[in-house]
Order: sequence, then structure tokens, then C-alpha cells
Amino acid sequence: MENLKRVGAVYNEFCDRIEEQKKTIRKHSKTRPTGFKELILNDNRKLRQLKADLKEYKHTLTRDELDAFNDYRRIRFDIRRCEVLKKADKVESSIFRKLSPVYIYMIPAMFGAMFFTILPFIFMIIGSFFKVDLVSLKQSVFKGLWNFEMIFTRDTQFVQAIWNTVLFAFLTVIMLMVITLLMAVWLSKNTKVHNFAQTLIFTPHISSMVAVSILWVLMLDPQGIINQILLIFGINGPNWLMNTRTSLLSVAMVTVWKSIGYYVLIIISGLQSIPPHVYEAAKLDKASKFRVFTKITIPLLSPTLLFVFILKFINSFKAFAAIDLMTQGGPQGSSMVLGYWIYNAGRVKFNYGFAMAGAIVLTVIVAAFTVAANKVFNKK
Amino acid sequence: MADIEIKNIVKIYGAVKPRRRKKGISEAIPEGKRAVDNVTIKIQGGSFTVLVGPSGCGKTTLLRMIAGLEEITSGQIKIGEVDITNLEPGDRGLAMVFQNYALYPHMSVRENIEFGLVNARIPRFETKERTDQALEIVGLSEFEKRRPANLSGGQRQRVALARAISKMPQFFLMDEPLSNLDAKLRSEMRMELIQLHQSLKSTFIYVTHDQIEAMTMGDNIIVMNEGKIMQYGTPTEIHNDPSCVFVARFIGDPGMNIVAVNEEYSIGFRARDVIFGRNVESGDGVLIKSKIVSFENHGSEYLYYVEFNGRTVFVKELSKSQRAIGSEIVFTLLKDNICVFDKNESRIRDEKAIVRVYGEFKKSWSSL
Repeated sequence: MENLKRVGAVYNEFCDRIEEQKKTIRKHSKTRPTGFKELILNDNRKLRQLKADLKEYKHTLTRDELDAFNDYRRIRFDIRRCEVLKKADKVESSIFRKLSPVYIYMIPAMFGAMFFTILPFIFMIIGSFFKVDLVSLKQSVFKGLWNFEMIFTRDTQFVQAIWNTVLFAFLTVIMLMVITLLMAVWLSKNTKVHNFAQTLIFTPHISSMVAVSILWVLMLDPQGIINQILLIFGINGPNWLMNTRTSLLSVAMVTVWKSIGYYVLIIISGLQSIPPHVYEAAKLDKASKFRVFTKITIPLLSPTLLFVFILKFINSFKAFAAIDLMTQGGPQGSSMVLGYWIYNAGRVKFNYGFAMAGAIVLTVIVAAFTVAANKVFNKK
Repeated sequence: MADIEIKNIVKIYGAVKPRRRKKGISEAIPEGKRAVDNVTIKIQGGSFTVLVGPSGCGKTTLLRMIAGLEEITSGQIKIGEVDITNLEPGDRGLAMVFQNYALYPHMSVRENIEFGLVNARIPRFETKERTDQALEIVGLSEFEKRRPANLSGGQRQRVALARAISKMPQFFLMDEPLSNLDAKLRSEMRMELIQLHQSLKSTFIYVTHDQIEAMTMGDNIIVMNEGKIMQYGTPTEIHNDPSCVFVARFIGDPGMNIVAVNEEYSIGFRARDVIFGRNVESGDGVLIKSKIVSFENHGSEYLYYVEFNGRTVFVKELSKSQRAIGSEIVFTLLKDNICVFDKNESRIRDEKAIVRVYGEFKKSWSSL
């Protein structure tokens, strides 16, 4: 017991001295008064002496006492650790009191948005006023609204592309919303059959647009499976992709088919968030199935429907891969949409000024439609 | 007014309803945990019947089966002479008030009330009249244009009530309608519901887990436990004359003290039904010396948690002065104030048995 007390006292002195030394170093580290170095060296010597003492005394301890001593050391260390953590907490809270942590969480997303959306967008706005020379950017000439003037008046397909895009967007969105809503209402039950059907419907979404497009190009061939099936019913199917009347519709159909699964999931989650007791109340209110659907399900689902509408609408404006793979804007520009037109102008004809101007027109149209959709749906 | 007759109702969740066989062959009831177990009861027309029991005892399930929101595994429900077992909820002539109000969040107060009336093909002038009337009864006429989201909890509850009233149903079903309100509002609404029942004179079936609500509101109380009806009677009957240990313990604040006399019998007595000190008048009764373990201050009375011979019971004293913890308390139990239960926890009403058990209790526990 005596030995243990002695060891403890030495250990305490040792630790206290270390802490004191650290404190003095911190205090004088900047000013470095004369004799500071000697002081530290002196301290170090003393510390070394204490450490040697400690080692020596430790040998005198019995096993139990050694355990007790180790315990004590651990406790002392733990107390020290907690003090350090408390200090760290203080620093942390003093930082976050001034700076909302929101900004820190935003950094990764902001980084992406900055370099891949905002800066390119600004660059695009600036570029659309120039006749861009890609080989040497310095030789680009400022031309004001010349690019816009040209694409609206001189380009043969731009105006057609705008109309096609709007038509394409409406076609896909309306087809998609009707089909997905009905399917979601059917699939929202949680049975094995429904889950299986849901998985089946979802598969096109995870396959690539390229694969889907090639598959449908084959199916929509004049001698393809679709026309052969139509022939069974005595209908002479059109040349889907090569006909000016059906080319856009065909692409729209494929886009819808691919995205049904995804949007069905969104609508199902919306349906499931409608509280079940509302339906029970409706049952007691003697509402027929149709009335429940029109008066309760659809109004309560309208936020989800708006979300789907806007999401799909904007996505339709960006349609590119399917057009590129299936029709390449043809025949005679009948399936030319803005997204493809921009690509064509920039990457095929290397007329970047036109492409940027076209992109700005596309942005304005999307923004206008989004605002309009928001207004219409919020009124309900 | 028509009574509701419930016959041998069973509910097993997840069970497939047995196909209807030809008449004469009894339907087999599928296996499984019975949420409601063979309940048979007649609820009188015009009464305020309260279904009370602990959580998971099947009271809400029973109510939802009456409403038609829950499929009935087997059994029959009749209103008067009409078998409503397989009717749609909307055709049963009843209205329900849900625990979470179940208002339509996208409709205004007026639209909420009118929705059911329009569906029932009630002419427009009458719809309007009934809605106005219902809104006036609950005192919400000026809020008719608001959405439920812009109302307080109590107001939403009133809208749900108005919606039920406007249908002029034979039966009001209420599924813990007050449990989402704060204590003061709850007692206010309690009074209003009682007044509403008196003025409408329809049948109210009211589900609650709160025995105080049950005691204060009901003409009749049905105490349920584990899917079975434990006792059916007026509040006074249920409180003073419980038929089993469960009811004795569940009803009352606090529940009845149950003390085992021997392996077979136990006795029960209310915390209020004790005489402090010796019974001076006749010298009768069991005198018990006990020590106070803890107490609750109820304002006008004190509830002491006392210990004697290793047993702990509650006694209630109507007094303004408080006894100290650890001090001795002496009280007398009269024979008339005790209930005797057998080992199956059901009540014994045989006078001879009661006398015998009382004698044994007196011999072994009396501190005289």
C-alpha cells in the first residue's frame, strides 16, 4: 500500500509537470523570452528523472497494486481526454453559432452544381451572343442577337423543332400520366401478384435507352413484330419510323414505355401516403368507387401528380438518345426536337453560337411551362 | 328505436373468410388468434354504450365491424330486424367519428360535411339545411370555409362530429374521439357529447380505453379484455359489483385492491370503502394495521399506498391533513364492502362461501 501511494504521488507529479510544461510552452511560444529554452531543458531533465523514478518504483508494486495503478492511470487519462473533447465541442459550437452547418452540407452539391450547371449556363449565355470560333476562342466575334435571328429566320428546322418538342412533351406526359395513374391504382395493393407486376413494369427503366431504342427499332420495322401483329387483325401497319406522321409518336411511345415503371413507383408512393382513414370515412359517406377516385384520390394525389408532370415534362424537353438512335430527327425533320437540334447544330455542324442560342430558347420554354404548370396545379 | 344485436361475432386477422356453404352445414371458423372472440351482446336503441378495455382488447375491432370497415370472420350483426353483416358501410345508416378525425384535408369544412350527403343523393336544399344545422350544433358556423389544416384539434373534432350529425344516423360510432385532445378540452367535449346524446336521442357506441371517460359518459358499459366481454352493465353496477378480478382492477381510480386470502380465494375492496380507526358503532369488521409507503395528493383527498403483512393496498382518506410516510395507519374493512373471487378470478356470490372466506380472512389478517 505504501509503495502504491508513492508510485501514485510520483505519477501525479509527472503528469502535472507535463501539463504545466505544455501550458508554459503554449504561453511563451510566440514571444520566446530569454531563458525560455533553458527552462524547458531543465523541465525535461526533471521529467526524465521522474520517469526513471516511476519505472523504478513500479517494480516494487505487487500484482494487485500494479492493476490498481494502471486503473488509476486509465482514469486520469480518461479525465484528460474528456477535457480535450469538451474544448473541441466548445470550438465546434462557437464555429457553428456563427456559421449555419447548412452551408457545410451544401458544399458537395454546390460544387457539382457550380461546375456542371451554373458556370456552363453562364458561359452559354455569353456564348450565344458571339459567333464562336472553336479553334481559337479569341477570334470569336460579338454579334449581339445575330444567332437568335439566324436560327429563327434562316434555319429550316429550328421552328419546327420547337413545335415538335412541345408536341412531344405533351404527348409523352399525357400518355404517361394516364397510363401510370391507372397502373398505380391497380398496383398499389401489396400482394405477390402486384409486386411481381410492379417489378416487370420497372425493368425497362433500368435497361439503357440505347438497348431499348434498338429493340424498338427492330419491333417497329415495317416487317417487325408490331406490324405482323397488326396484320393478324387485318391492319396494314405504317412504316412507323420512316413516316413523317408517325415518327414522333413512335419515339414518344418508346419513351413512355421506358419510363412507366419509374413513374408508377412515384405515384404508388404518393397513393400510399394518403391516410387510410380518409378512405374509411369515404366508405361511411357512401362514396362510390368512381367518386372516391375523382373526389379523394386525385385531389390528395395532386402534389405527386404535379411532381410527375413537371419532371416528365422537363425530361421530355431533353429527349435526345431515343431520337438520335431511332430517327435522327427525320424523316424531313418530322421528329426533330430541340435537344437533338442543339446537338446537331453544335456537335455535327460545329456551329456553337447557334447551339447555344437554341439551348437558351429551350431553357426559356422549359421555365415558362414549369411556372405555368405550377400555377394551374396550385389552383386546384 | 332499433337495437343492435351482435351474435357470436369472431374476428381473426389475416384469416380468409370461409366460403358460404349450403344451408344446414355450419361454417367452420378458421384457426388463429381471435381479436374478437365469440361476442354476443344486445345494445339498446337510444343508449350511450361505452366499450372500454385495455389496448389490444378488441374494442376498436368490434366497433369497426359494426361500422363495416372490418370484415367479419364469422357471426352476425342485426339492427332491429335487418341483418347488416354483409352490407356496405354507407348503407348501414350509421356515422362514425374517428380517433384522428379522418377529415378530407382538401375540402373545406362545409364540403367535408356535404360530401356524405351528396353521395347519399340528398336534395341540395336539404343538404344545405342539414349542414347549417350540424355546424350550428357544434358551433362552427363561422369556420365553414376553412380547411381542416387551419383548425385547432378541438375544432377538427367538432367538424368530424358535425359530419356525423348531418347524416342523421340511427347510430353514432365513436372510436376514441377525445384521445387526441388535451385534458381540459377533453372534459369540455365530454359534457358536450353527453348533451348531444340527450338532444339527438340516437344510439351512441363509444370506444375508449379510459375508464374515467367510460364511467362519466356511458349509460351502459361493456368491459372487454382479450376479445371477450368481461361485464356488461350500468356504470354503478360495473363499479360496485364487478363480476371478475379484471373488471374490479380495471374500473375505478385506483382499481380495486385484490388480496389473496389463501390459495383458492381472494378478496377485493375499494380504496374508498374503508373506515379509518376502529369500527366504533358495532365493533364489526377486520381491523388492519398498516404502514404508509407512499401517497398521492388528490387535492380534496389523499390516496395512501400502505403495506401490511407483506401486502400492499391503496386506501383513500377524505381529509385535508396529510399523514406522514412511514407512520402507522389503522383501518377497518366491513364484510359488506368486500368482494370475494375464486381462483379463476371470477366473482363468488354464494353467501355461505363469502362468510367462510371472510372468516378466514379475518382470522389470518386481522390485527386485533
